[in-house]
Amino acid sequence: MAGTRSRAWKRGPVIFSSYTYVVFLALAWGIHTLLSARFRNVFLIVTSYIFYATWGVAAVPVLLAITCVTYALGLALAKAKEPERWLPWSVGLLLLPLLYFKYRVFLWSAVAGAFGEATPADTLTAWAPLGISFFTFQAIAYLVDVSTGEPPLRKLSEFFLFKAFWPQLVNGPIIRPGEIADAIAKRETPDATNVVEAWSRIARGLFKKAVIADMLGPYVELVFAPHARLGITDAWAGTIGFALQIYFDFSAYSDIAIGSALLFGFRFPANFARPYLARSIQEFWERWHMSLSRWIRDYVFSPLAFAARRSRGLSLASLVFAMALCGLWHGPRWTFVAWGLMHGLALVGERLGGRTPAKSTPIRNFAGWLSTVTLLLFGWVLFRATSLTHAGHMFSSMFAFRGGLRPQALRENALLTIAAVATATLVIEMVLPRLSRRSAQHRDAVGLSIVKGIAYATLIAITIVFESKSTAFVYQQF
Amino acid sequence: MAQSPPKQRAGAFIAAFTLAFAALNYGASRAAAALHAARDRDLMLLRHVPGAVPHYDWSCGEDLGSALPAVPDARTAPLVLISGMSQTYAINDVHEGALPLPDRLDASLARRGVRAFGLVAPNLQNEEALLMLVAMLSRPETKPRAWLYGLCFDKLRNVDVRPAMLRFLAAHPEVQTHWDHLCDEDTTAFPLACERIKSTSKHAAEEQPTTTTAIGKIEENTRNAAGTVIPLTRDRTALNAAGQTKIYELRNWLLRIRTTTERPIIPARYQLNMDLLRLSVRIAKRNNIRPIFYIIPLNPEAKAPYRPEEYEAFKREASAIAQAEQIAFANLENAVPEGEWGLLYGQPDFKHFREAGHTRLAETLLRTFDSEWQALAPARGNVGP
Repeated sequence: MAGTRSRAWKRGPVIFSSYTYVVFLALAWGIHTLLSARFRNVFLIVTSYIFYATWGVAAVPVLLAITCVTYALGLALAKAKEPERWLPWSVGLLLLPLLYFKYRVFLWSAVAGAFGEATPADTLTAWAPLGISFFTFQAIAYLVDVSTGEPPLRKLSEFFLFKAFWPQLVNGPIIRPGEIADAIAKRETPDATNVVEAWSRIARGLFKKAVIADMLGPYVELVFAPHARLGITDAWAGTIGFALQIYFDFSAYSDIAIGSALLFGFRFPANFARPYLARSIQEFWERWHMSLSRWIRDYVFSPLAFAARRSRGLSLASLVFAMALCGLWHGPRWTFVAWGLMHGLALVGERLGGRTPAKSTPIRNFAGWLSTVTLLLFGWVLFRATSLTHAGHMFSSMFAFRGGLRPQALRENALLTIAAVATATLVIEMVLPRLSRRSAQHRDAVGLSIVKGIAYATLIAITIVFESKSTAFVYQQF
Repeated sequence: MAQSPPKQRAGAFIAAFTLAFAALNYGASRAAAALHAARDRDLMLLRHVPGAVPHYDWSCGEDLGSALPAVPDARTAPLVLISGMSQTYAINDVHEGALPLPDRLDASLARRGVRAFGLVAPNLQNEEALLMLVAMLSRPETKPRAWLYGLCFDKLRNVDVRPAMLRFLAAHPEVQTHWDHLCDEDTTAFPLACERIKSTSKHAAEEQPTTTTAIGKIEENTRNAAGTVIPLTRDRTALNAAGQTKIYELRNWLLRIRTTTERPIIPARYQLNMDLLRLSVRIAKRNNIRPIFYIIPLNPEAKAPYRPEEYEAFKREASAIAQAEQIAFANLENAVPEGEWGLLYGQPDFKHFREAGHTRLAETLLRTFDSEWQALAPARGNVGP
């Protein structure tokens, strides 16, 4: 998965962590700043389509068509007397391209499999426009919001920008109109503080991606190779490595996306909040890919749970269903469905167990954290494996003492690197809130700004020296 | 602390950032030359006289493509491919004009009408050695008649083909075609090796030259342009190597690791490498190339970082492969005596010898495998160097 995509930038697209993107961003920001406010939206639409076209010109008409259809449906739903009657048809219409491009082979093979037919060989190779899951879900959210009384974006240029704005186009975060409508309408120039914050965030993202995530990639790939011979140490280390890789990779992407948007005056909501410190799966989903989990909660789980409010069993079943759907959203593979189901069942277990933070003690907290992290790791095995059989092989390696504790595939340096990154991540994420609180007391001091300036210069220098050429983001495939 | 307006704080940040970044670049620019020299020293690369004729790949695996034009024409004289890790080319306590193993072998074999050329790289593992063989046999003018390969036990801990070699594979369709069909007949017999070869093909495809796409060209040009104004970008290779070395030194210091610290084999990697070795023999023979394997010499003064039982098992297995496949094989671990070796980090270097060691090893190889060279030598008067 990560391996097959990892060097995709060489096939053409502009990757967020490439030199080209940094230059593109700086140029776009410079021109945008010089332009009069009334031309800015059009300028951003054009640059967004240019950016998207580098990922494949063939995908541009799909984005354009979904944008036009969503715009028209939004206006129609806003005018309709009974929008809730038309909403399911509208959503169904928007889902058609997603089902066709991303899930047709999967659905066909599932149907064929049920009748004992062979699975088509190209299950995983069907072409789909990049980011189609993200912009389809965003469009659905827009229509649902409009049908429940939110005002639609009436100006075509504003709607086009909402749909195509490149920092959120390919990998999210899944932005709702209400979150950027004001910024689209006002088109103000960000002040110096926001510009510094934006570039600092981009620098953090580049460091996380180019130095940490890309460094872990080869180790993970080695362990998750389909026929790798693994010992217990390799299997656990590789899984921990993947947990870290996907976190740094995706949160790096989010940092660069959020920072890029801020340069143009758009403040996107945070997408990650120290997820591996979560003490329950529920808490994890409040900290991990927050824009997607909010989407699933508001547009899938809540309506289902409301419909099933009289039956606790059905309500819990809707939770499992929502999480399975969340898994399937990541791609047409049973491993993703299994990952979603596992999370759904864990959430159900927590609800039945009645775990509440109010009753927390240090021991309970630690036990909660340990059990959550362990479950998450099992989940990441399902997520990263190429098939359920492969996942089974990984699980058996995680629990079989073949060859004792001695690594069978990874070198000592890989083990040390994974252990160092894991420890540093936990320590930094535990200490960071305290440091932030302390620095907040001095946030007006020039001295602190100087220290931060030096720290970020060092971070950029390290990124330049240690980056292993810009590789595509793991999450880009979803 | 004093309150200051946002603009002032932003200004302070930008000024500090700019000054610090400029200082770091200045430092990088000043250190670059020394770091490049240190990198060459760490890799024990020889400084070559301009205009000299190479008898091995002077880039040491970093630019295989540039080495191939220097290979003596295999259509006019039988060619021996010498593959090996750093011992093959590195000379401890080197002096001006010192010659490593490939130069010496070529000079001696040329007198018999046979030529030799070395494709070498530090930490060479068996898949890379196979790739070198395939690179040579893919073109008639470089197709060897014999393949001399020094087996090094600790290199069997390595499995990744270095990016430079992947790039070479991607840029040479004739080699890629051969590589892709290596396992056509052997998938069942060598499952591990064949799976690995397939995976390497995939990685090579991802290493297609960046200049094949418009954005790839832009990225390449942007990086080059950035390199002209940002010393950190321009000298990142040397800075990266220096940084990695520091990290290793820190690791060694923290964990008290020395050059003699025992390094056990990593079973899956070892098995994969041995599977690749067996497959390499099969491929060489199928292409009428005589494989000639030897266990490389080790310094008798230095404690090797091997587990004795694992090393013994490796030697037995290598010998068994040679017997089963009826190929030339010798254990030369004691071929270079005390006094012909050098130092590494102030301790006896267990793998790299002085020039005398190269002379000694060349003589031993010529003597030990004399029948092989004789079999290669053309009938007098037919062909010559």
